[in-house]
Amino acid sequence: MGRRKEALPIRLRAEDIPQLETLREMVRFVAGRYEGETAFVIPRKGGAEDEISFRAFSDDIDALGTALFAQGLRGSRIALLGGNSYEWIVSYFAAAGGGCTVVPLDKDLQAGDLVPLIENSGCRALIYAPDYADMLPEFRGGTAIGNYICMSEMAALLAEGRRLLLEGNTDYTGCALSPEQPAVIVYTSGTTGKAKGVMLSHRNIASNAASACRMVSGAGRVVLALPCHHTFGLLVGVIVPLMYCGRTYISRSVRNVQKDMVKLRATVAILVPAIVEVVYKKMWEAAERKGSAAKMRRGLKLSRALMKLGIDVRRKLFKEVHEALGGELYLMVCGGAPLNEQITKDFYAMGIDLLNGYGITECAPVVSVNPQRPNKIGSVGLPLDCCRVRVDMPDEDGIGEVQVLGSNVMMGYYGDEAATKAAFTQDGWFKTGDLGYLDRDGYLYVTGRIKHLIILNNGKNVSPEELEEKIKLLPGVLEAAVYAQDGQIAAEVYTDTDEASVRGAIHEMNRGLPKFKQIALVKFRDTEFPKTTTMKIKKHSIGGAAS
Amino acid sequence: MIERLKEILREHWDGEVAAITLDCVLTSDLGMDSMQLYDLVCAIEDTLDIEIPDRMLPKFVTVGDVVDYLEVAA
Repeated sequence: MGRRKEALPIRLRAEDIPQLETLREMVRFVAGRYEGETAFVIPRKGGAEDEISFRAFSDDIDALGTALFAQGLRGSRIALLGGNSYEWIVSYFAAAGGGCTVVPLDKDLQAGDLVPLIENSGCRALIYAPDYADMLPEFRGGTAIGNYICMSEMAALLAEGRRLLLEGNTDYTGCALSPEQPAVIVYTSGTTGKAKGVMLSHRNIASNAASACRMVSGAGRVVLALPCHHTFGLLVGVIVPLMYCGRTYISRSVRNVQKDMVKLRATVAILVPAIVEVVYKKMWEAAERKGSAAKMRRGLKLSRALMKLGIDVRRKLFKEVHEALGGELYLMVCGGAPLNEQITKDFYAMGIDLLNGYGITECAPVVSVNPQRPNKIGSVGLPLDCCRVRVDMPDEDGIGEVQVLGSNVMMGYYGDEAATKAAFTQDGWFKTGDLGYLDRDGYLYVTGRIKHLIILNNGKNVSPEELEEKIKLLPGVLEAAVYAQDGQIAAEVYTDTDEASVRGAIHEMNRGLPKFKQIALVKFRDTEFPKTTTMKIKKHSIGGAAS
Repeated sequence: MIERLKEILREHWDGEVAAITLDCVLTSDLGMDSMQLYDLVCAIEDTLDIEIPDRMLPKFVTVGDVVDYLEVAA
């Protein structure tokens, strides 16, 4: 099952990352530089795998783009629907690389939820994975899509495109492409309600990818488990590894992530906090089962003490943990939600850097990320060099709205001038709607969402995210959401233990909090909270929605 | 098929398998969260050598839903 140990492919040094301006330039650059190196590993049924080189990837893009143009789709908006697959990735680059605008649809939404998005974006074509074919009747009745292209027909399309290219057709390969053209319209899944179509240009994406590469020099073998329709998954899980000559393993599902990490002997994993928490929890459960949890706890203490003396034996001390993660994992990059600090500290003590970053779809999406050295635990790192970050109207603690200006900031919301106008300040900075502060070294700390902020009758402000993180650390608490109810702070908890002990633990926690932050009401739920596809709790669907 | 599913559950789930019926709700009756459901689906895939698309998961509400799907897919 394990892959034999092999040297990591050559990669670019961070300072050599060129400032490319379009997705097409990026693909041509990596194909020219890395040629026959493996870019993608694709699991197939029965345990087989296909490998695709950088050159073959670039050729497939040109062939598919040529075939799409031959179908009259030049300049169209094209929706993409499906789980992660090589066909999805090639379709994305082929469409955007020829000046079409890609609309990546959330694979977990129902057909009825997708129809208004397709309609709003004005898509003329849909490229879909075969397991979504049952949605087509609803699309045919409710949208203006004229071309339906199933990913299972990809081989035929590629063959047709290659034939046209051999005949000298340059409609696609020679078409003009401006960095200012929209490359994608991404509908935000959002935790707060109505979806908006975020328009990102080629420059937005290309500059963000190059800057992210300059900040985190991790590459090697990467498991792609986050959904590609999400900007974070695509940029950090596909585009950044491409730039670095990474070898990307296209995992069929996030549920296979750990198994795939072992298969690939992954060196880097791109995850969201919820998945990191599961990996961490399983690691401790395995240790408890084997009776080695106490030894592991002692190991953590020893490792921390030795690291203070400059002695690094972490990978030896935690050999079993490393083997369970493939044996060569040295870096996990995380974004999308707050990350539990203790987990970050423990992984570091075990020899794995866990870097948290901050992003928002409107910023293509990465705004900041922790460098490997120094990784300031608790912060979301330093702003990328493609943008500047400021904190607007800071309070006495330096906390205010995080605002961003730079080449990664979106063109606007598609067809929604009012929302676009409302998203920017008069001097052109993007208002993220997130609260945070910058420390004296320029590291960003995000403390919560403005929309979620609880403003009490006495004028005090409470960030629910701060309290949620504290509650989630209590024994037996699996998930928690905090909101205001009748002027008081309420917590809703999903637990796998008895309610009385959780209630008691929350009362105990309250004793360490200022009065205005204390949880007054505790509610329990039988099932976990509804979540977005990046596993964030949908705030608008819980008890606090109306408060 | 329910017996095969029970065999898989016996290996991958801590609860009492014998009492499971087709009507059991995976979340409230068996106490599974989404991650445990992910694990179960992975175990089914490995044991029966099939692929279950992610988009099927929300449709698995009861044990019967899983069994119905497997009757066709496995």
